[in-house]
Amino acid sequence: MIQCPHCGKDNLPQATRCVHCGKDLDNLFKIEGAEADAGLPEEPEISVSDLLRTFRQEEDSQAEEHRPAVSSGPSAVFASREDTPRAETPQEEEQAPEWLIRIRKRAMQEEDAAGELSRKFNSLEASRSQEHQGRVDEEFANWIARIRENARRENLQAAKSAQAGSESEGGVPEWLRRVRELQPEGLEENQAVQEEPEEPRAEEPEQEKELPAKAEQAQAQEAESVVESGPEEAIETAEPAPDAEGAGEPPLSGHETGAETPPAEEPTESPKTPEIKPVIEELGLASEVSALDLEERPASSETLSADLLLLRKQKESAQILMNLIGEEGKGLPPAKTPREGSRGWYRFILGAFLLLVLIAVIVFVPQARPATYENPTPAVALKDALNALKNGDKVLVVQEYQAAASAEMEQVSAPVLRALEERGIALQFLTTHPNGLWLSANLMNAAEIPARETAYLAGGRLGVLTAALLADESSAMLPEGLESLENYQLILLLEDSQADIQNWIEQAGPWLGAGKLGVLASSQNAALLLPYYDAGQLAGYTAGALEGRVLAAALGQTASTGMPLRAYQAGLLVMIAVLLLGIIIKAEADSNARHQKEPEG
Amino acid sequence: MNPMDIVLGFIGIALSVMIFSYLLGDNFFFRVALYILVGVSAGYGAAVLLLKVIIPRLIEPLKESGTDAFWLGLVPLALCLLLALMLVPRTVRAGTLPLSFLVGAAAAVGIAGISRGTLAPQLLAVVNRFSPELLLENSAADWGGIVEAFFILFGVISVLFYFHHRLSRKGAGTQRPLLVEGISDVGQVFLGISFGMLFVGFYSAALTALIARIVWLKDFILALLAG
Repeated sequence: MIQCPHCGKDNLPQATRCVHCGKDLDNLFKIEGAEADAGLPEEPEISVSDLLRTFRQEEDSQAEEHRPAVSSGPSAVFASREDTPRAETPQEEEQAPEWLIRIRKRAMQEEDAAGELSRKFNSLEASRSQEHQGRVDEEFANWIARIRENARRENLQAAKSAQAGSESEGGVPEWLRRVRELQPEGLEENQAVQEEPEEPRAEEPEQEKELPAKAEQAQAQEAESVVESGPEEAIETAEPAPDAEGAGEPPLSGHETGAETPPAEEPTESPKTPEIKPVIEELGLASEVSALDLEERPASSETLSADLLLLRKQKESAQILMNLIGEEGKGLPPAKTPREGSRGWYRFILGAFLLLVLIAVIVFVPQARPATYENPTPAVALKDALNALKNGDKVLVVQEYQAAASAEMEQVSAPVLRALEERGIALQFLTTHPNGLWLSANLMNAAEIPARETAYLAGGRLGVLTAALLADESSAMLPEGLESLENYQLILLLEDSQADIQNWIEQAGPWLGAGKLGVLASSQNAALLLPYYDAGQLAGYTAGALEGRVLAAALGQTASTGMPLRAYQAGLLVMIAVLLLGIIIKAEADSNARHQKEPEG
Repeated sequence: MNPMDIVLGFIGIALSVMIFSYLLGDNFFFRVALYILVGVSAGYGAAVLLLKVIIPRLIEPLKESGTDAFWLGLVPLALCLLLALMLVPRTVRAGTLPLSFLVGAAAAVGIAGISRGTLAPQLLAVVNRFSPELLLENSAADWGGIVEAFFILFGVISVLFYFHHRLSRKGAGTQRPLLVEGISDVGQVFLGISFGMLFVGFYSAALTALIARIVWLKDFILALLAG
């Protein structure tokens, strides 16, 4: 039993911690003289080599059974441990624990325990043949090589895991990083292709053919560098530089960073190599380690080749995926036929020609008297509906055109409004567009009628439906001053948009009954209004400045002179000429294409 | 001309030239003019909506506490608040209620309006073309009306054939009978005529606006020269 130095109670001799107070009992097991050995290199991983070294020295010096202690070396461990008890003073011997004293006594009785052990090992070693010795060395070399390879792989994986955060932020997947590490050259070219999307796409198939070939070449070069310069350089070159990786650039290969990478004849060492090297030199195993380097290269390169082989199988899929990722968000590829750069000039020439013609006609050609023109049936029907209105009847004028169409719409609408005002018909203005508030003021000014407030109806089609359904004039849903739509004898729509016209016809028309909706529209809506008039949903309509002139004349009003008729005719002629020219050019191009195809067939 | 008219006239000339510069392609001046147009329209529209809608229909009723208008005004206020919550990323889903209400109501009103205001009346108009009252004029056959009715019916059917044939050709890729192909081609002709009329209408409207602008420029310059 041993006593705890802290609490003084008994503990078992094997105990390392007091069962009573819990404190360590390690100092009880301290071997006297251990402090003297503390300076010695304690390398558990070199214990086997220490033993081998010891055995060889013992074999050489079999005659000497008891060697003096040396300052260093593994044999010193044994020597010092043999000699230390003999060198102890009686006081120290008294302070030694009981079990140690017994061990020492036993050792004294058995003459030389360490020497006996050495002799046993030496006899075992002597019994081995030379062939046996070579096999042991080879196994030892392989063992060291495997340890080093595993250490490098662990370092590589640790470095990768440390960079995983920043790389995942960059959105670079693991497989892509591995491809970049092993194929930096091919990837650089691929990135160059991706960074230049404006290049003609006709070259892409050739580049796509070249890329795998270059990647193969880069891989072959990489494999050569592995064989030539050893696995250390291969792994270090394959390992991405943190700065370059962080900047999103592929790491450079060992060939490209020639200044930084040692040549193949001077293989770079792993970080653990400097720690091992002095110990190996100290043990006299330098020659064996150099032989080991030569032997371990093929083994490591084989391991790396397997890795490369795996990536080679995935290379095509990875390349396709990379191309897809690179093309993401870039839209469809442009047409194979190159876009003509002179197209903009054609547009400019045509536009400038049209402008010049219009300006010339407006400035130099005198105004023409409008020819006698009979309006179409819908315009005549609208004229009849307007003429049927009596003094005091209410007409709601819905003004919904935009500023761009105000010139045409004012020419069409102003004479009609003036005629209605002169006949004593009550006009009320309404708009569903914010712009209509100030455009209606312009219209009143152009029609030379007293200005009045324009009501604003919000809500689009919902507002129109509400206005059509609500009979209560005091409802807050209707704008102030607006009566129920049924109270108006005619609702005159001033429109330049098909959607707005349909809105009123579809939402308000079914509730108002036939013949309550009349339309004064811009010329672009003429074709759309005809089916509605034909179905009896409109009282009539007039579309365009020309029909507006005839309608004004039919109502006894003077047509507006805002638009020169000659300029309008000249503009139409220019467009007809352009259309004919386009048809001829297209026919000529088709004919040429057909002739080019025929000889091939 | 007063000075303000002159200043405004020059601004108008500058903006017109900036828009005309689109003939040289999309450029800085064209975009500036476009941004001015969009910005001024948006600002004006917002002011109108504030003065004509939000204040009279939302704020004013809430001032009269206890009345029916007050209680009714709470509903759009709540919907507006829910819509405003869409500005905060965590409460985006709260805005789906007013949005779904708006979209649902607009879709329902639109479908009802189209079916009642466009489809039914125009189909009836095609069918009514064959009514005996219309086809008989003074107890004799109105051949012009009959031909016109058949022409309209043929146009409707051929256009429907064209659309149906185009969709089925996209899907199955099977060869259709010759009669169907012929009717479909006729429908394409009808569609071409319709689109041609639309193009003429659009061009005519644009030409009218362009001429009006040139005339205004000419009048302004003449007035400026005349002093």
